[in-house]
Amino acid sequence: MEFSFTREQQMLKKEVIRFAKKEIVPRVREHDLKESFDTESFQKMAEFGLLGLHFPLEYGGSGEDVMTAAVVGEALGEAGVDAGFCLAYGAHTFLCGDTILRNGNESQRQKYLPKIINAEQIGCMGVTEPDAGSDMAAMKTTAIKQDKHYILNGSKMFITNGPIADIAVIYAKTDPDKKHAGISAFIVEKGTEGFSSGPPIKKLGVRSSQTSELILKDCKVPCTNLLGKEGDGFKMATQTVEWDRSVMLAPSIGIMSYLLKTCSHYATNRMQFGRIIGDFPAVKHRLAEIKIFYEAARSLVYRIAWDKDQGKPLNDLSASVAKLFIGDWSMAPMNDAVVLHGGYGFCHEYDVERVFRDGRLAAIGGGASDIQKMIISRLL
Amino acid sequence: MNFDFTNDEKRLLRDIKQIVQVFLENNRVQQYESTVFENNLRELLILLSETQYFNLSMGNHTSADGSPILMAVMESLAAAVPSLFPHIQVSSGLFGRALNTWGNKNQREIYLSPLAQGNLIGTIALREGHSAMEHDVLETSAKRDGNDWVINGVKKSVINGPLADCIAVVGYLEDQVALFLLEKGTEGLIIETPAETACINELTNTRIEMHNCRISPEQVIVKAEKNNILNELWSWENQLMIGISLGLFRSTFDNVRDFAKTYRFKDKPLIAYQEIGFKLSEMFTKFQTSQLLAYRALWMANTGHKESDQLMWCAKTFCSEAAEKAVMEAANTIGNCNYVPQNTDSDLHGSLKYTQISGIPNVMARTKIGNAVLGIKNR
Repeated sequence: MEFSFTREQQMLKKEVIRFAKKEIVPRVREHDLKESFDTESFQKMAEFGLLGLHFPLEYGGSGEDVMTAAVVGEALGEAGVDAGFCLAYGAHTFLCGDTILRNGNESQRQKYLPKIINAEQIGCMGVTEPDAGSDMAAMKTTAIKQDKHYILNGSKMFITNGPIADIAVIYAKTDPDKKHAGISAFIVEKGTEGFSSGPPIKKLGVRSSQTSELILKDCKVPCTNLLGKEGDGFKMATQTVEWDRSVMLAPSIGIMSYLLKTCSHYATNRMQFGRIIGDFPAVKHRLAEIKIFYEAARSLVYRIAWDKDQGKPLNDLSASVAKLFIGDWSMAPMNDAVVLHGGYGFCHEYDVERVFRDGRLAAIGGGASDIQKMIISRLL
Repeated sequence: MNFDFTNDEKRLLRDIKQIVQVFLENNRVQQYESTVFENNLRELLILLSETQYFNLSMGNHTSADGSPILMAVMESLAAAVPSLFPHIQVSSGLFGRALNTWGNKNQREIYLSPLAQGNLIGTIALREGHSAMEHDVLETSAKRDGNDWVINGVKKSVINGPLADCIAVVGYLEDQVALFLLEKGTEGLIIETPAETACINELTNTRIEMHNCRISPEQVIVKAEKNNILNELWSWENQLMIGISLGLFRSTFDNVRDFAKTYRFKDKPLIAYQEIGFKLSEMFTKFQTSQLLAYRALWMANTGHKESDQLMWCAKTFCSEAAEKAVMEAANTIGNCNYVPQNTDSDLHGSLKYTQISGIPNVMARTKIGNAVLGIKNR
């Protein structure tokens, strides 16, 4: 057992931090307050090669391993990139792009992956429905085959990148009588007849990611857009869990490192009672809580990435542990960061306020904490 | 990065598990007051000498040496034989490791061989009145008298105190930090009866006094880099506390999980009730998180990483407090069944408090972590 990063990973991390600080971070606050997606930064990420990091070279990717992708995720958070932007990146690259990479045929890969990797098209994934979140088998969206098309009807809810996506991986029931085994996945392109998105949803946090409902009303999708075989959908959706629990959690870890730097800077500049507040043990202890959480959470994420690189099947127990720990227990150190900033911590002017709002999603999105507890308790 | 143990390391864990299993089948570990306790300890030390366990701390740098496997082994032993484990690890992991690291050839020959065979119990006497908070404050010192050195001082919280065949006393020799090797029976060495504490008695929280204890130069280990000796000893002591925490956490979790699976309430096992299942999930999550943090802290300490001290403080604080919380949750889960003599939760609770105040006290660890984050140099 050893915990070192390769020299290449360390260098890449530094490069990504430098890139993100220069190209993305300066606009983070503006997009958070405007609740808008930063298209310009996304394009720059593509040019830097980050959107295709783990994709094979033949589709325009870099062929990096999962661990390296996790290191990059952590670097984005550490640089100060907001969780909303990181979420949009994750939904695009992993939930949409990787699902096509793993399950699409060669024609689908050739058609979609290069455009995902260079940000010509933005991707999203639609699983959740207004009445079916964690309970995927309760999905009501249907896909009925008619000649060379499937007719999709239903709606998808809380879809990250929904309002801006050019392509969506949509899950629907091709056999409504079956539960999980009746679910299939389709690639649905923007502009397809009967496919539309609702207005962006106003949210507590991750505001720079655009979230909406997706509406499928007699939406006519060519059979060639079916991913894999009918009934494979549930398996595909669970594959994304590996990304949810590793690379997509990594920015949350990096953000803790960012908080440490932000809080440390504030504590060494803010004067009270004639001293910098960093002199007070209570402030030191708050910083310690953030540091302890940061160090405790890191290995959980990296273990999943490492397992994935070894070709091991997903260990549901480890994955849920990582998700639960970061989702449920990250709020306390984020709260420490806000309180340490006093009144300023409550204002948009200081990043800790946004980080606190953004952090709330970790216990909800991608499998709520209670679902993780259900999974863990069943596996014990 | 690699999250797997090697086959050799996995074999060592299996060997230790088997040995302890056999040992426990034949022995009922007694409270410290019983002389059976010492016999148990010596018997287990001899059994462990048949494995590579001692090599982890005082060997010739085997493949396992200096890696997280030491933490995994500590966890395993602390879970299986919680009352004996601190004694075992102090003897090999502190005393033996110190001898192996700083002793000269002659000193290593005298002490390490019987130690590795399980025939000698050693200990380190480090703490003094205020040294828990400011660990470079030591009053124990040596004065030259002819060719000999004469030691005076008082030490507290010495694990193994009454059992040790040899005590490595930490003190000043002129202005350098040194270890003085005092054998049992040395004139002027007073070993008090272990004080009763809130923690389990077996930890033998002993106070020792040295009144003009005379030793030869061959019984002195001195190094110019004083902070290295003190820092290393404190780091090893922190590792021990983390190991105890992990072990007690594991045994607590295993017990409560097994209880929740077998105890039935209204025709279904407790674990089938969501409120219990969720509690267990949280406990397990904290346990796995503690494990990985502890392994990484040890790995960083052994690779000399610049943030290794911070990691060790983080790991000690997190592991000891998460384990204590787990014991409380376990007590709530077990409910009335907790209040029976067979249940050891109250002992565990005390022991986990011990891990929080020993080594670097958690409150001090947090201050030091905060200092490090702020870029303030810790003393």
